[in-house]
Amino acid sequence: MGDSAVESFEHEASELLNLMEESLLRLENEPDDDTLINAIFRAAHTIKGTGGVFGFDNIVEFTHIVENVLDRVRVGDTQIESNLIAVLLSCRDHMGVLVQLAINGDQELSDEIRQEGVSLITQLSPFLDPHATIAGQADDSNLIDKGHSEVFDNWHISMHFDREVLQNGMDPISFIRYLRRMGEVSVTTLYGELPSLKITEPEHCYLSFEVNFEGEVDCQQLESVFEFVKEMSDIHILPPTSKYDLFAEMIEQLPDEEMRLSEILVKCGAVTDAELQEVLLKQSQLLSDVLSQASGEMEIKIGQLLVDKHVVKQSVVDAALAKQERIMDQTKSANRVIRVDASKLDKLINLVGELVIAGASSNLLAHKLGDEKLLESMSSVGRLVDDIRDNALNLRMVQIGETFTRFQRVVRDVSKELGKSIKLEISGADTELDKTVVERIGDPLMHLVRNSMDHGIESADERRIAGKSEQGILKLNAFHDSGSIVIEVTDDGRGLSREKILAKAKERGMNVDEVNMSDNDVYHLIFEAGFSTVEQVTNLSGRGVGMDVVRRNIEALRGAVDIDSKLGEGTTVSIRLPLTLAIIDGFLVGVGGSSYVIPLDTIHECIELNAEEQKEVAVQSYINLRGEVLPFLRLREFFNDRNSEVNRENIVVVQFGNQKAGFVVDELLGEFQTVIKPMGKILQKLKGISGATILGTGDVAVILDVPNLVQRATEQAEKMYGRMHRADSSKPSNDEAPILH
Amino acid sequence: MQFNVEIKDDVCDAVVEGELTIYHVNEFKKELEEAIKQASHVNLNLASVSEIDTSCFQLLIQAQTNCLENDKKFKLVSVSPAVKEVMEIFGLERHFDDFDNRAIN
Repeated sequence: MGDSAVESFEHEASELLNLMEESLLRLENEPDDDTLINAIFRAAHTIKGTGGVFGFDNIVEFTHIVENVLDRVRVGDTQIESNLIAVLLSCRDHMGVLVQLAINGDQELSDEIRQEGVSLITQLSPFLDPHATIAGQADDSNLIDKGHSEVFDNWHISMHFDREVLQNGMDPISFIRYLRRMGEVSVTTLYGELPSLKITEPEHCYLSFEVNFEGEVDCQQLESVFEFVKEMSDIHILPPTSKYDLFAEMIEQLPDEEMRLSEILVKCGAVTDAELQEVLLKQSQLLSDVLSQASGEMEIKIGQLLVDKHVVKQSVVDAALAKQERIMDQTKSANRVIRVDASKLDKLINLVGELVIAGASSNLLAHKLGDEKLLESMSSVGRLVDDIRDNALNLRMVQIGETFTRFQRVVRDVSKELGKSIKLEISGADTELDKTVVERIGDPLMHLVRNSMDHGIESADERRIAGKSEQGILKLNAFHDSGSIVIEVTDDGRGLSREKILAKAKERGMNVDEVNMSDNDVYHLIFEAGFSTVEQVTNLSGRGVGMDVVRRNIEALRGAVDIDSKLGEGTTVSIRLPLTLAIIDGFLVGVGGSSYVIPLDTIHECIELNAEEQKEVAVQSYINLRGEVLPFLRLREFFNDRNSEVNRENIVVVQFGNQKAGFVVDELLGEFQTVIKPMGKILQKLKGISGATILGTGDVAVILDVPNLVQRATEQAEKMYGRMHRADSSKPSNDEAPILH
Repeated sequence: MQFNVEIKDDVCDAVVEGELTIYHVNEFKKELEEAIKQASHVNLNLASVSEIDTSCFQLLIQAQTNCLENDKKFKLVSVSPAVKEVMEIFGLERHFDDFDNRAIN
């Protein structure tokens, strides 16, 4: 068994285990949803099956028992209850452990794991049938056979001939005679249609036959018996009851190509091709009838038709339908996730980056030459490059939903552990972001979620006293906002206490300005290393290592964390992340002799400074933008550019989160597709720069780290404002730092 | 096909010989009707029938039904192996037994 096969087993198993978990959790709320229990059963069944293929006996052995319980739930012998779901969740975890061990090649279970398995099986035993059943026992009540009440153990062939069959030289006798040669035949002749002797057309055939056939044949062989008469007869071949399981099994075993129900039935021998054609014909006739009657409500299903026509029995159709549904499910999930080696994608995106740069350079040359035709062709190339870039980046975009749903389990388990009742509400699950970002957001989110549940949401008693509903609500939300994705973790708990945080900060010897610090700044203190206001350290959170890790992780992704809280009402932590880490739409500006790129999404507007404003700007670090205080940075000063000053200056107003700031620049050079090139190690510590890119000319332009610069501008303006404020003591102190809000 | 009829005391003894196939079915029908018309007891001897097909076989059933409806007796006094085989094929071995001799005599 090759490594790649094991790898795909690992992948499949983990997907199935996730599906199982998700469905189990949903089942807790919707115990009547059959599709969920079926999904869980199928997941377990498939894991057992593939595990068996690889000879992972531990998995098979354990999963088999789980599957038995699930099967009983599925057929309604066992009721869903929260106990059972809890055990099944543990079983699912155990299966995960077994799968992992099997993949690592550990067939020998440690005592601990063995013990766990035994204990789970003991827990499962009350839900197991006292009298073990044979799986897939034929269920006689399922037989759909309207005209004939007897149960067939053999093939059943129903023969109705056209009246003219005898005139055409065919005689039913010969068919039955032939069947007798193939096996045991017992015929019931129906002569109810015979007219009276006087009016009969003696050359017509009025007899029809119901044949019970026993023999080692398949449907195709039987069908071939009637090959010559199929044009003038109505022959139905029903497979034997005893073979139903075989059929269901065969349907299960068919290769997983996408196929229609009808084809499935044909392939497994329950229906022959010719029968199918006939039914299809009838179906399309019915459909066209329906359409012509302009009543689109009627829905005819092939399966139903086949059953109506006695072609197959219901249970076979059901099995085929289940299979079909599953293939479709798989196709659907295949649509959602394409398995491509991530490094291949990275390579592609790198190449696209190079293409963008090369395109920019060609474009520049074309402009220099001024050849119109060349320019035209360059512009269409440019458009294509844009599209390719967008699509290439899109390849790495994944929905955040999967990351979110993982927390269902976390919330469930943690709330049980804490003895709190907490409901997780998810919104914006379809918001997309770069896979590399998704992968790195899991841990920080986990910290935040646990923190909210542990510290944010109060115990049921506390909540009751506070007049809230006993069930706490934790919300995960995601949305796009000006080139970033914002992920919010909201709880309706007790909120952050400014006093407690300040007290703790002082206790830890932090330098805090109790009076002048804005709430926001105070809240941000919890992101400092080693900060925890909770006296009792639980194994979930409270060790004071969580929040600063969160902040560091997110800053590493060029993102930012913000926190908003109302005492007694709850806390919202929002994480703001760039959508992608590879290529962005930039805005090129010139300062002195250098070019800088500002991510276009962050740009709010560009304004020109008039002479009067320039004077004003010279002495302070904020301007009045339509009545708003706008702090700004002179990029020339910030980057120590010594080139001579120009007469005209522009301010590019950027926004990050809810903060705005201006950058004073010399020239506005326009939009520019920016391939972010990582900075060398030496330059990585530089503040205010998030990367570099190569211009069409081959020059290097620096990409501005907008969040960082906005913060600096704000701080600078604050200082300046503060100085002025202190100089002018008549100003009321609560005017402090309006720009921070 | 040969259809020989002998009528005596309201009893018709008919002896059929040769092939009873779709080629003879119209003739067979005519003879049967004639035979039934002439007597209230019809005894059909099929001992010398070399072959019988569906068309002729269903006529036998129809003749029997006809007799039943008209309160007449219909009986197959003897059948050839060929006829017996078709009866078996159709699962109608006992079908003509309802008209037992005892019922007639």
